[in-house]
Amino acid sequence: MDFKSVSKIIGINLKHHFLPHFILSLIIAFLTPIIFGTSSLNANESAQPLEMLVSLTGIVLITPIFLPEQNKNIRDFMRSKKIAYLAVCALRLLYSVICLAIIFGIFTGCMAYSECAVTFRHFVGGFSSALFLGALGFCLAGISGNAVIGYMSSMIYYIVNFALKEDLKNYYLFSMSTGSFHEKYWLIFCSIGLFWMTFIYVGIAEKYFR
Amino acid sequence: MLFFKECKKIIFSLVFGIYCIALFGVYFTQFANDCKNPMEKPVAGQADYGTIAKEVPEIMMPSAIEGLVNEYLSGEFSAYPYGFYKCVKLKEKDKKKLAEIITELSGISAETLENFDDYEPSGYITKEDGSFVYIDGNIPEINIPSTLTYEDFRELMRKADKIIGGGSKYSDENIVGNFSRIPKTYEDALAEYEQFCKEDKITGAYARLFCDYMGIVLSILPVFVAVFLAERDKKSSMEQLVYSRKISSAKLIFTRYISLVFTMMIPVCITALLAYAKVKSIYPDNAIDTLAILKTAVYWLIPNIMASSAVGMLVTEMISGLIAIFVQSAWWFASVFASSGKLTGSIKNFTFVMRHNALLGRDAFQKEWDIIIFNRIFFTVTSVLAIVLTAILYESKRRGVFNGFQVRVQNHRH
Amino acid sequence: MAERLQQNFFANHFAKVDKKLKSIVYDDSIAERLCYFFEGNDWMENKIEICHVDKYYGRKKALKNVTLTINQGMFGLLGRNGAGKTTLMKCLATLHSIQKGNIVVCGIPMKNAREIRTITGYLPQDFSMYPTMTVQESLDYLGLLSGMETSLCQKRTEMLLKRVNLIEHRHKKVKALSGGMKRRLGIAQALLHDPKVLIVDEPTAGLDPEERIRFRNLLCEVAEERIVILSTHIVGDIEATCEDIAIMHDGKILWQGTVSELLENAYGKVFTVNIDKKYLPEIKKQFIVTGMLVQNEYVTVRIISENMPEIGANPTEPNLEDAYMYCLYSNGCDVSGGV
Repeated sequence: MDFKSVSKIIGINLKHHFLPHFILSLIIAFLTPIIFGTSSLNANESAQPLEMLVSLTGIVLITPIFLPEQNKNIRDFMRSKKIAYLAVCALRLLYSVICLAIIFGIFTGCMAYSECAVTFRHFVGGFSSALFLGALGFCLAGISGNAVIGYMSSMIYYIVNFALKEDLKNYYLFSMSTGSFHEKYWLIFCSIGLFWMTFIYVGIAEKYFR
Repeated sequence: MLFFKECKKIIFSLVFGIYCIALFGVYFTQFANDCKNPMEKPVAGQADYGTIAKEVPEIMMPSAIEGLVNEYLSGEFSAYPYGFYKCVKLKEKDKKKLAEIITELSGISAETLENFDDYEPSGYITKEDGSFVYIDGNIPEINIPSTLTYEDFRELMRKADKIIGGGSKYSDENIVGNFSRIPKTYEDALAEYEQFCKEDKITGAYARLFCDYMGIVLSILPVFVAVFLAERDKKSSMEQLVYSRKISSAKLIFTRYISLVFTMMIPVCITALLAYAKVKSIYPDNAIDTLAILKTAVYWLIPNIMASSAVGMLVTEMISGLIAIFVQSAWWFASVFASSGKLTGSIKNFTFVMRHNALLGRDAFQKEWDIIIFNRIFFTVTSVLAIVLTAILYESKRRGVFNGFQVRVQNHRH
Repeated sequence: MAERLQQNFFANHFAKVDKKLKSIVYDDSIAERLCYFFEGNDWMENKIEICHVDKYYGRKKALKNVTLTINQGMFGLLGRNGAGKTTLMKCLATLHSIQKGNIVVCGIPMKNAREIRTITGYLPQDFSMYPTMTVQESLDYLGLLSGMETSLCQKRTEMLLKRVNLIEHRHKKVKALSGGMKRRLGIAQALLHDPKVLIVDEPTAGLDPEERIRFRNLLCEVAEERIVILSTHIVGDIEATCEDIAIMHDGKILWQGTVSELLENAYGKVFTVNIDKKYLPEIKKQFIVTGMLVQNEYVTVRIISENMPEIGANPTEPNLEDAYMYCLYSNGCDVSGGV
């Protein structure tokens, strides 16, 4: 694939499959300062809005990667094209993750502007929580072939984080609010693992038993 | 019979499996975890029985005013307007307004407030074990004017809260809990324990805790089940087949709705029975109310299941499933975090997720009883109305009058 | 990429002058080497070879030792619903893996799925496309997914939309298209990248007679320069379009040959008989009935039988439907359902 056709594929996908989800994630990002304080927070407090609310944009942006082809007929048809179906999904994933990073970048930037003690760590920390939530939804949506299952699972996991807190150990999404950061590396690592696993599973499943 | 067919369809769906896992997860990690040991009867001569919030003007006025002066001087006001911590910084205009209020309350002049440089924070702070400790700081001397009545004081505090933006320590909901705490006596503690044993018959108290935990997940998960099933019809092109059948829309939609609520109550009832067994096992010798947990679950949790399933069905029929999930999630968020600052005694007429995260506190709960009844009936009736609307929409779709609002967030269907 | 495309495109056009080339270049091996130069695979081999293919869905065996050779032109795959036609088509389109055997499409083995997809166009049985895209947008997008150059894609889109009569509807959304229009969009997208192999799965199902005829004609036109595989359970489709056919039953290839061979097989096995209506159930029990015409009390019945029935039957010219039924019957399939 050359750059031109890749950018065209991305353009069409952005227009037809990404826009509504993107708008939804912007709504979440814009609502956050209303419910949360986002000015003059110290380091731990600054992590709260990032980890607890803006991270939901991860669910909104990354879970629906497989959604356009949820109809098996469309999926089979798309698979018959020269450019692999999963390659198109990977492109979608790529731009969704980039968009997620941009949202977090802008949000952390705005917080820094309103005199919060945010650093690059906050950006990475919040982003990794969002990525993990999204990866979880993406994985279960891909495996079950149904986006509702994906949304449901990542939402449940989000709630579990309020209930079990540090008991989740390395998988705790809100660790930065309590001043701990090493979980974040783990979350990023696992997200990438989940992405790979899902792609491999979907590739095999489509070919052999779906 | 259609009802049993629908129930079977739900029970054997993946989404229902996940729903059950989540429910049992909440039961075992939250409720069962809180039920490891029985509540102990208070013994005379204990050093501390905890504190209790009680409206005593003589205690509240000086400590609240001191708190306000402290926050004013530090320039930061902590507030929980939507349940989350918010650090509020005031604009100059608001600061001036607040200074006037402080002058009225404490007799400290605006100039003193403006030019006071040696500020050191003081006041009650909460220690990790929950007890309150007084820290001496350095603030201007407070002389509460003798003419200040308690009513005036509360009114001024309300104004201060409004300037801060609501949800501050001085709001009507928070001021008593924050500034008017008195130590519990042995008698108080004993009376509470007696109430727990006799009036609540133990399970009554545990029932509230059970419903508190379950209510959180039951206010959001049913929407996924409802949307999953409604979308499945569309996905498998069943829609047209169902449309052309003889069955009336009202009957079909109501049967589906009732079977949704019914099947989703099954795991709730099972966990309620487990909860009963658990409570019975830690209080083997006490007289306990066998059906309390189940009864409470029925009136407390069914409206939650009904409302969130109704949102799922209505919005899916009207726009799309994903929008339904988004709407319900937003509502859930608003409701859960609105009450997250205060986990008991915060039930209002339109509180969707009712909280009562404590074993004791029967009085607070009973005081809200009328509100609770109104609240639950309100959600039940509204849900039924939403389903009536769903049936009407379904009928008009069937007749080709209405085709759903065109929103692009939807599953592609043919 | 772009270079490869050009080569591909060139090679496709080159194929058309294949015969001329052969007349100029006497030495076949030189011609072959030339072909390799233009496109990394052997485009000379304009055929699909399917050797001893087995395919399972879980435990269910969907294809049983399928062996077929498909040459240029229209090829019809005939069989009942559930005979395994769609499965075979999906295997050819590299959507399914096979557990045993080998498929070679124009010299490309099945494991090179990407290369096969480059030279095949596939129109599935239930052609579905993103409902919110317009006709034009769909073709643009699908062209991209087939790895086409934009300018070429635009040219071909224009040409194909005209050819399938959708040019006025190019800005209509897919969800607003009628069944026939959607099928036409389907064939347009399948031809978009000028594939050497066109796989169409039950293309006429659900079309009105007029659309059906138009569709068949369109297929015949495009088949002049490529391999077109058509699966159907409607005998009329095959009759009107195909020369070579194969009959599938229960995952197996029952028979392969030309239409005239199939008809020849049934020659002398088809009879008509005029009987009283009340004997009809009796006749149905004894013979395979492929058609009947009711006239008052009497009914003229077409029956298939190995030997001349002793009920005053007259031998008659078999049509393709009779021949198909006879083929199933003579291979031991249960066809007692008949008409």
